[in-house]
Amino acid sequence: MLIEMKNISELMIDLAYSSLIYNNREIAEEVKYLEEKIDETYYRIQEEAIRQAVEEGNVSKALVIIRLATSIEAISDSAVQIADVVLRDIEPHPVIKESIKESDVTITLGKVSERSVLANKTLGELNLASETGMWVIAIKRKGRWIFGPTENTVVLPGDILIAKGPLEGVKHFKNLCSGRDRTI
Amino acid sequence: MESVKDLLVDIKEKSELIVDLAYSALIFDSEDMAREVENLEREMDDLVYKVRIKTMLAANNIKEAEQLSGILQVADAAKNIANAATDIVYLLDLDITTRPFLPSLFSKADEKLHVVMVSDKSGIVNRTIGDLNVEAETGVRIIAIKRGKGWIYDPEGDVRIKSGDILIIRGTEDGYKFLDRVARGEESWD
Repeated sequence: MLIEMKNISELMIDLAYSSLIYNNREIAEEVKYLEEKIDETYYRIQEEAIRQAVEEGNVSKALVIIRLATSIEAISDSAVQIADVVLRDIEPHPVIKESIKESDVTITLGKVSERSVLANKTLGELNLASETGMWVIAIKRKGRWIFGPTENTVVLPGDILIAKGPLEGVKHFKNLCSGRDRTI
Repeated sequence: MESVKDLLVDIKEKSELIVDLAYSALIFDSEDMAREVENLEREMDDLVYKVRIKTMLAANNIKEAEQLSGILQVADAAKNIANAATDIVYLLDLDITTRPFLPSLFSKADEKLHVVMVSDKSGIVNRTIGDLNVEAETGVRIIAIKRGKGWIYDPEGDVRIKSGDILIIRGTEDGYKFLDRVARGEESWD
């Protein structure tokens, strides 16, 4: 559960920064939605840790786990704080977008079309990270999230891929998703 | 003095690095890495303070102030991330008998942080990170290098990989596996 919480919080940070790049409300709303997931998980972790502490008569493990979960919760709150800038009805200052774009790593989204060469292949087969520098950190499929896709995860038409990598890789990645570029 | 943009680039990158380093400090039970997290947090405080001053000086009217407040909010959020990361490494200050399970909490199931040992047979020995273009080629980012007893954090492009280096990397499973084979000398880089 703690790992799940960590993975979600990291995705939230990535999404929050990318919502600023694209001034995209939809991505920002997604960050808020994930915050609800975090809160649920946080609650379950605390409950579980305390239950175990009572059963085993040992508080220290529960204490460490709860403190860790509290920090992860604080990280995800910060992601919401970032995304909130987009959710106000004021266009974010252009300098924000520029600075995040200029950072070593950027985040992008691509919707996989029916005719994309990525469709119906596993991430392992595609080897996108080595070929394009963009690595898929999460997939949104029919309203649900796959947080830690592995090399066995199959990309399906309609998937929204969230990828991280250098700015130079973004265009090619998006074109691969849309089907415009036919070779990886 | 740096521009707000440069400061924000730095703030954003540090906010990401500090979280990776904080988890790594737990996984490797490294006091040394924990101290680096604390240093980064102090640097972050300083950067955020600079952004605050610069931003306040830039507002001429309400509209600008509204837009600029977004910058302050992002900077502040990044600082909160740094604070949370520092709280994570404070767990290492607890008595070891109360936290023996800590390294295993993340190390086994974490798909993102990995360790790679560079053998003297590897083709990347004596090449710089920039020349190898590691991130663009593999999708893997080197967040720290353990060399001898010391650490190099967030190595720049001009850092040369040496035989015996231990690389702490963040990235996908396939990027990691490729880099691991190359580092062992089982596959060539190019």
